[in-house]
Amino acid sequence: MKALELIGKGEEMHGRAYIKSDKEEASSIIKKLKENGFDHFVMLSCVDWIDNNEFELVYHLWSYEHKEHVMVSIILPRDNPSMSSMHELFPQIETYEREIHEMYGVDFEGNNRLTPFMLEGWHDMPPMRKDFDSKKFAEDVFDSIPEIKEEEDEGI
Amino acid sequence: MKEYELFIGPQHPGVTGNMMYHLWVDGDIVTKAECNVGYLHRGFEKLMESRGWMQNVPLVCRICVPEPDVNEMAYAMAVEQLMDWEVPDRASYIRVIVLELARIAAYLMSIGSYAGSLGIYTLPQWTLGDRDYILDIFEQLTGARVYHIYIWPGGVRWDMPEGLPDLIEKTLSYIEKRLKLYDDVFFRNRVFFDRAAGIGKIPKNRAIEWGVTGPNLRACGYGYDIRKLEPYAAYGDMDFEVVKYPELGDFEVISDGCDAYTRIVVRRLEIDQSISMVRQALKKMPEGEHILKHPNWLKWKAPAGYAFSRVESSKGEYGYFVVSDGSSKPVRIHVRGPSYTHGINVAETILKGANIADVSQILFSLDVCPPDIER
Amino acid sequence: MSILKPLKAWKHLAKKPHTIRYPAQEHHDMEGKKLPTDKLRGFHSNDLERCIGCRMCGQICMNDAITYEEIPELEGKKGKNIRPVVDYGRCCFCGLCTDICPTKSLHLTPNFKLVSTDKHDYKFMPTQLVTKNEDYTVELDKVIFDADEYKEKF
Repeated sequence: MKALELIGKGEEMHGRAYIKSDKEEASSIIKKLKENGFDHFVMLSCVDWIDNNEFELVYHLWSYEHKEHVMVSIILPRDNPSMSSMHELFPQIETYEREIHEMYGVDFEGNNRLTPFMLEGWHDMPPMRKDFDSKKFAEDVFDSIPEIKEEEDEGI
Repeated sequence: MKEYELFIGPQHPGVTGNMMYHLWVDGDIVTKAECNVGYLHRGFEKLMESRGWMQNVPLVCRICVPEPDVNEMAYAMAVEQLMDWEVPDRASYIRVIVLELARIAAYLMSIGSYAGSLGIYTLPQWTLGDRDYILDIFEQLTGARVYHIYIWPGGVRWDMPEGLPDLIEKTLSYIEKRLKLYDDVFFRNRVFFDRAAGIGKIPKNRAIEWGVTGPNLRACGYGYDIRKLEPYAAYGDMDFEVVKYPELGDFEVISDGCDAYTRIVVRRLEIDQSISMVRQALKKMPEGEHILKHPNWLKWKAPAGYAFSRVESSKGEYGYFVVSDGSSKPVRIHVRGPSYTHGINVAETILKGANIADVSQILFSLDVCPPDIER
Repeated sequence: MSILKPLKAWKHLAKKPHTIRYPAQEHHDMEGKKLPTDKLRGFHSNDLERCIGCRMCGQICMNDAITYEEIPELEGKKGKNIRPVVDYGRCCFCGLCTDICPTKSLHLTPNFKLVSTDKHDYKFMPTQLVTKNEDYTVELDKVIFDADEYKEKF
């Protein structure tokens, strides 16, 4: 595959190139891919591997020229994760970083717009982390609302 | 002159759903726009992590309301990649029929609401009425009108019932007849020409870098369509030409592309394309099985790995990133919605310098759909 | 571009509307077939004799809409004496429970009309009572919706 030849490492997974990288190297890899035809930034995902105490950031790029999809993966520690922002390469990365900052608590240095995105007035743990118990949260929030007393049926 | 702030949405007919645009306005020119979402966040991605592989199928379709089938398709493709399954031929053709009918329905809705944003309220009434005839087909094919839960990993849920191809053909010829009327009333209307040409321009040289996809990208002159680039289902066997600026068929080229006019005309031409593709699929559909045998749903385990699937929706590129660790539940499902880039970064940039009156038509021409921004 | 062609829309003034007075008027598709057809996913029906109370439907249901109730009269027959009770406030009519049913006793029927002001009415045990009905209304004592009464208003 073209991307694997360019970078010189990685493996093929279900027809997609998958490249393991690290925090320092990642931006130069993505820059190199962008200059070599991988010009469409698809998305930035975050996976919480709670058993290994790690976050995995996956940068997805697609090349219209080579018709190839490449995933660049970076492992971050789960405590105080931080990564340098890449919004200068592709402007829409800014929004993905905003979401991941809010949902996983990953800090992106250089992104000035890490403001609340979907949640409002949220002070709890970032909700997409695996140790956030959404069932307990729902019970705490919604069960504390007093039940509306149904009036006697007077024939509506 | 002093700048003032204006809020469009979340309950406003000029915004494309439950989202809000915060505008800073000087006179009647927008100087800064900020998208504010969060009114529709349902936590689907978190919920999918706690459900089995089959239990997620009724959930994924709820991510996009006007065109739910692309989500089922993308999810099914991702699971098939993980399971290493080959879908039966007949199922691939039925999938094309369902996806293309859904695309027609979604385009009718988006063209109608765009016309509404220009003040031509006849068209939304007509398009939504005609869309209902497609929902009638879906009701008989899939058992539901909007959320079909029909495209399953490994094939489609039921085989096509007898007699349905006749109904589909009848509906398609009806829609073709109606499209001629739409052309006269809307697509050759002076109001549309004067108001849409040159409005909401995406700079052509930056369109790909900004993540613009789908009809919006084709309106910029790039002939990129995932159905051609990376054919899924039976699109490899279909005969079609990608619609792109400046090849607009019978429609006049009145601007240099990338604007609201071209985006809507590209959508109109793709309805014709979808109609022809449904006909081809009906003609070429082979006999045979419609679904592979599933493992026990309660004990279904997908092999560990990373899968990414992409489909072309009426709004742009839909992508599903599915991570499995070999257990009966996914570790992570991340949905790439086309509106994520169109509605936030692209809209915020191209709204700068627009008139207040043009804000809603720019948003409708980009076909921003908030459910896939927030999932 | 044309200035006069958009005026074609005026000829629709003389045409009948697309909309129907649902539910007083029946809904038909383009070929004149009455909708909903039997394929529509509505309320469940369950053959209590064939059902073996295996709890599979409750396990696949992702909305936890299915609970179980004991029926003492079924004691001593094949399987367990529990039968599913569906909460239609939670049910999303996906039909996974019917596909997983090993005896195929559980079905979805095209019945979908149920109107009540009491939320407990939406939780009931599906039986064969709700299978076939001309008007596609659920036959329950508590149902308030009456299509005939509604028709008279038009």
